[in-house]
Amino acid sequence: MTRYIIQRLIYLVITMILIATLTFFLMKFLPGTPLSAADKLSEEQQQVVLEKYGLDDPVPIQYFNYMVNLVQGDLGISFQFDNREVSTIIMERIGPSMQLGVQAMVIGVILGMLLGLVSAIYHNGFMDYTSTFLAVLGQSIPSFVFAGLLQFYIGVKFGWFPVALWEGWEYTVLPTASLAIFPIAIAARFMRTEMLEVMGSDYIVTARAKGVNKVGVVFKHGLRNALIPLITVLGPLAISLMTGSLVIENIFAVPGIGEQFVKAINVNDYPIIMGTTLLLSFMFIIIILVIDLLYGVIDPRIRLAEGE
Amino acid sequence: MENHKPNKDLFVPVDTTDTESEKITRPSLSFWQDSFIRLRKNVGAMIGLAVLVILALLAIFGPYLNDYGVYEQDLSRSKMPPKVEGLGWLGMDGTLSDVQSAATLEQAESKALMRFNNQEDFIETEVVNDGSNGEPAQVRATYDVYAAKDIQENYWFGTDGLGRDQWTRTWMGTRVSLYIAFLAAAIDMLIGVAYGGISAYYGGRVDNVMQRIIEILVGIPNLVLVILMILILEPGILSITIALAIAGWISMARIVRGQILKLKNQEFVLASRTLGAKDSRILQRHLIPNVLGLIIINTMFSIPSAIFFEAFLSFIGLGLPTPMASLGTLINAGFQSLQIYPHILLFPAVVISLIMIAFNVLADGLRDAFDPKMRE
Repeated sequence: MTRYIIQRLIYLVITMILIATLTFFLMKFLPGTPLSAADKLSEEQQQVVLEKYGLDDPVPIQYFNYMVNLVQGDLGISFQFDNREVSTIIMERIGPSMQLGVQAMVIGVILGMLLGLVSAIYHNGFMDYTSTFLAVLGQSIPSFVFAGLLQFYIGVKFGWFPVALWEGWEYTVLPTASLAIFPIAIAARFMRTEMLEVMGSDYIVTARAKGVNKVGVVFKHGLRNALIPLITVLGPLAISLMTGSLVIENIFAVPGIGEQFVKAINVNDYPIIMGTTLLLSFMFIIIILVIDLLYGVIDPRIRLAEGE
Repeated sequence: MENHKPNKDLFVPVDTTDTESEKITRPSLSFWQDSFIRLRKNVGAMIGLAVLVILALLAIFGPYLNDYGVYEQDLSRSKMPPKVEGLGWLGMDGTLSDVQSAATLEQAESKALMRFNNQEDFIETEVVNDGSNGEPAQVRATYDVYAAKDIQENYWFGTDGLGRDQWTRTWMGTRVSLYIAFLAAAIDMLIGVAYGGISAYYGGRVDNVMQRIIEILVGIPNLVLVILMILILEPGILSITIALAIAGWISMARIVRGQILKLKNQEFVLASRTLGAKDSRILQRHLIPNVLGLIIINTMFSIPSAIFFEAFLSFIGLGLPTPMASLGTLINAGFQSLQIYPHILLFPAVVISLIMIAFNVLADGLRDAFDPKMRE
């Protein structure tokens, strides 16, 4: 197990270096300059600005400086906001994104589990068909379409929750709902399949034969065993939430990382694009790693297979 | 009383020879025939397939069904509501309506008229709440845009902010989505299957190197990779194609590798090799066909995610450039006037949702059909 973790950590470092390098060189080939209104500035003025940000150095030196700073946690200075460090901008904005992500994840998985459970218990009944149908809808309808519907009906027509901005808890309701719909659908479908399989197994029949009531069997014997595989979908779900936050934060004007990323792309703010890309990739890799390790810890069969 | 004895001539002894008892009476079904029969019994999957066929036909022929071009702008007919002869009961009657409320009935009425520029000749007002019960008075104004602008032809899906025909643009956008669907399937089938197959079949050092490459590629979020690719290339259908080609085949390669690793040491492969078959023949004729069911299922599941991806990129402005129509850009444009003209958002949103649902349902159906455990 230790060997496996070390091996995975080495891959993590290699991947991060590769992504940092890739991002750096891709940024260098981007069309457009970071100077706003470049045509209005004289050659000298442009030179001064480029010098200030170290953009006139040869590319290898820029790359070296970038990597050295990166290791020290310095992501450079934003072009867009004067003299603001990218790391501070990101730190300021990580809160709302995290809050939305965690809320959507928790709500999504819990609701999805319940929906899946109901489906499995009433297998092939009305409840099953309804929740399966809802799950297919949730999985298929793009999050931005759903966000639009919520904004229009709940935000504008009924006025129950604010349409956009970020000024308190009630502002998180609509974006969280838009983000949570995909996890709900995926968790529900997964839970249904797993639960049906578990409920058909011999130990469930034994438990029933011994006289355990149906509720006890479902929660004590069924749910626990069906939960283990659910961990495997948590990783892809977390990643889909990261992707989803890019659009959802823009639609609801949430001051988070996703919104900043899209904005930065539109104005060629290289340091912010690089910083956000690295952060997203880092979180992505960590999530995959944690899920893989967690899976091994929880399911003894996998740990045994690794040991062999 | 005499017992009635049956006549012995009525009975014929059973033929007990092997040829007779082992005879197969039903026609034998191959794996594919059997799967197809089960797929046909799946109502949801068949509806999904039908919806896809209809949408594909509309995407191909839809833009030619009326005379408006995709880029044909005319500000005098901007933001027209949808109008279809005979579909007025669906709300597609070419009118806009809005409810205004105010303290008194007169104020509410004048506000309702003002909402549509006081064009009284073309506005019908209807009192929703006359304000006598203490609540604010509410008046609904219904404005006949086609009559007011004196436009004779009908826009089936209405027009967008620049007066471009939404029907034509929606189906042009659907073409993009369907192109992406074919592309994603092709990439999965060609690159993913070949990569996974070669990696597993040759094993050893080849497998090691190829898997390390995959491990690094998997670490990079698809989205980040795609956005960076689109940034250096010009935004457009080509850059989305290239981006999908880089990132779209990894899960397929892993699945195919896992399956081929299981199959490659089985006797039928050994037999084929003993008979002198070349590696390429063993892969193409013996190994890949055995994994084909899984390949098809996985392809079907990667199609909706690719379609979503294109729409998503276009939605945040990294997909197709502005004048071109993609369902993502159309939806984005719809957002800008969502409150007053929801129809601009409605049609592209419905079409993309239908495409996604249809592909997902069909994929589910195929998975069930190919799964021998689901057999009754």
